[in-house]
Amino acid sequence: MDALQFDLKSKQLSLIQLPVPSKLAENDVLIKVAYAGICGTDLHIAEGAFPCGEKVVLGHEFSGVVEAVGSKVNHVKPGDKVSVDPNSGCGTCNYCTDSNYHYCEVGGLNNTIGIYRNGGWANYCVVPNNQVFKLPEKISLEQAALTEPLSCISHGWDKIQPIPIGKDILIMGAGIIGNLWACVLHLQGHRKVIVSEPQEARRKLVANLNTGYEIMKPTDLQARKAANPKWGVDLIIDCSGFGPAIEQALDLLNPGGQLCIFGVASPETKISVSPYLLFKKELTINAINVNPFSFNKSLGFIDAMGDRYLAYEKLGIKVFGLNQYEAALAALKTGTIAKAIFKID
Amino acid sequence: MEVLEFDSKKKELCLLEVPVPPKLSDHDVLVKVAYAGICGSDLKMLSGDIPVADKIILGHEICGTVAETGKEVDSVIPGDRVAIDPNSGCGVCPECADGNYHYCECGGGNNYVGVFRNGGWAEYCVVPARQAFLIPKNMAFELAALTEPLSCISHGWDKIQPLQIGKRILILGAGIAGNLYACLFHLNGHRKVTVCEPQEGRRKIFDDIDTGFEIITPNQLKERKAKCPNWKVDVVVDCSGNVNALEDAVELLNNGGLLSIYGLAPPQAKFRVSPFLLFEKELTINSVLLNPFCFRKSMKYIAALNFRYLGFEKLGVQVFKLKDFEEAIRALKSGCISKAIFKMI
Ligand SMILES: [Zn+2]
Ligand SMILES: [Zn+2]
Ligand SMILES: [Zn+2]
Repeated sequence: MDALQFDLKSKQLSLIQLPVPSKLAENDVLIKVAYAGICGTDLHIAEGAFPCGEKVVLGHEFSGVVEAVGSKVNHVKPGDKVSVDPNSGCGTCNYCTDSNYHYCEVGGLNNTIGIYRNGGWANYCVVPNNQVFKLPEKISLEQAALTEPLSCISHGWDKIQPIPIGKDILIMGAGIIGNLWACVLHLQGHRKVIVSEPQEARRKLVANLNTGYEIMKPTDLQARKAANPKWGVDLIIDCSGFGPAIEQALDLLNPGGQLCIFGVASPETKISVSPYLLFKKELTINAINVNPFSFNKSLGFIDAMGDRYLAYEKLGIKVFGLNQYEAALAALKTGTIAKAIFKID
Repeated sequence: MEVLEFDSKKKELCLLEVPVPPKLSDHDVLVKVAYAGICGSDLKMLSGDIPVADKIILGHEICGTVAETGKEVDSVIPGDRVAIDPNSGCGVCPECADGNYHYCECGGGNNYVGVFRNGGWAEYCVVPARQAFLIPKNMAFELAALTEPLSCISHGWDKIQPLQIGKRILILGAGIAGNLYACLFHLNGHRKVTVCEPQEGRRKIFDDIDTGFEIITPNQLKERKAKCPNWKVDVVVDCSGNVNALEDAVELLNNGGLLSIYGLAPPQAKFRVSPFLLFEKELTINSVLLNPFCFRKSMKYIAALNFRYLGFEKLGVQVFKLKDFEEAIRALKSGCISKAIFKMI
């Protein structure tokens, strides 16, 4: 089968031939991959800026069809359409038993499918049964490729509650994640949302979503604040990971406001925070890490959102073949598309 | 009557004779002050770091006896012992309507008894009746003087919940706020608490509270951090307002950890933090402002804590006459006591 393998030592991504996994452990599921996304994290990995396995087939956002199951697997059967949660915990450490398996040092990030174990940038992939989710009738394989990114947003959504309708919200950064946040907010009735994005191409993509949300450049935001110091927002969701933007965001918050750090900043970036400002406005800073117990919730979102929000064209998602990986990575980096997804036949 | 008036232009505190306020409006009560505390924020007002009215009687931690009531007051009668909540909201702005009256710009901080209207460093004080809370019969008068500071801690307490027994807690600063937090942790069954305090006098006072919590110096904390990189805490409560301590503390947090900022830092001070670290460990930073809806809760805590925790000698609280204000302020600044309270009876 075709597989895109990353070699950590040479920092090379190459299309290689691997045998289709033939022997399944009793709890494993063999999946014929249909769609597999390229995530911002994958770009970091490809640059060698994010830890991963020595030689690993990347791809942690994928959907597919069950090809074969191990002897003890009974919740899915060959032919079922499924989506795969790449994350799991060991199940026995303090974190796992406290329900925080995303902090697990054995499992967690260190065992992620597509980062430490072979993932979905291939024709076939083997995964443990408890990470395989059967798709509801209405959800297509195409849409299901978004289950993983939406599951992270769903986890973030849970952590910032309660956010009553009518609160002023600012999304910083209109890549795919900012766009999905906008969709989730719009679906749930929020109308007072501003999206801030420096790149013009991306601002156009947000406009495409037809949410009616105000779209601004970061400089416009600062100008608005300068013109009216009383203007502010109640919630800021940072999807930019850009230090200076995060730092300035705190000044834009209303009393009781919340800054949600969702975008991943570079490990070297630091921001300066005034504790007095935090105190005076009683602000909260919340960070979000991956998707514990959020995969079913994400499927719920997808079911409700449908193509109104999730059609690839609307979201600025472009489909590539595995052999077009170089073009896909290049397009993603330039910002002309919001996301690239491999369609695997 | 004898009062301590602060002239904020001259930054001068003077003992004066002024007439007892003669006429009460319909919803006000005249309180004969029994105890009135000196708070850390009072020291910052005296030094000009926190703005106050031009000429003002300070003192926002007040208990006393009702001397007279306005026509419409039916919640208390003359002779009742009351503790005063210095804060209120206008009741009609959006913040008030959302239950956040501590963010109210009409009432809230700007109507603060002892900050923007005359407070309790006097023999008598006029306050709105709904800010006068009846002290339970069996509560010692002197302990009721702690209702205001403990109400702010109680608000902070609510903001770190849920917090399971067994989580490791670090309190930065063993002034009165750190000590009261420690009392609440101990009362609520927490035993894995470490307190960090640079001043020896304060460390001694802390030992007297007899919680069994370990108390260490910032240097010892640094050494531990270097020697045992696995020593992490789940919650840091900052009562120091010291930005260097905050920077160190963020790095001590466990995955999923929380930094709760209670101590008041100087308005210009900033601490540096890495958004990547916040993401990687999924940290939360929140802050605690005033005491919304916490006065009653605070009285209940006082009833439960009682002399076991709150005896003045134990807590390092010293009582002064109004005329000895200079000595009181000096003792408080030196750290040989944790709190000074004026006693007017
Ligand atoms: Zn685990
Ligand atoms: Zn105070
Ligand atoms: Zn108000």
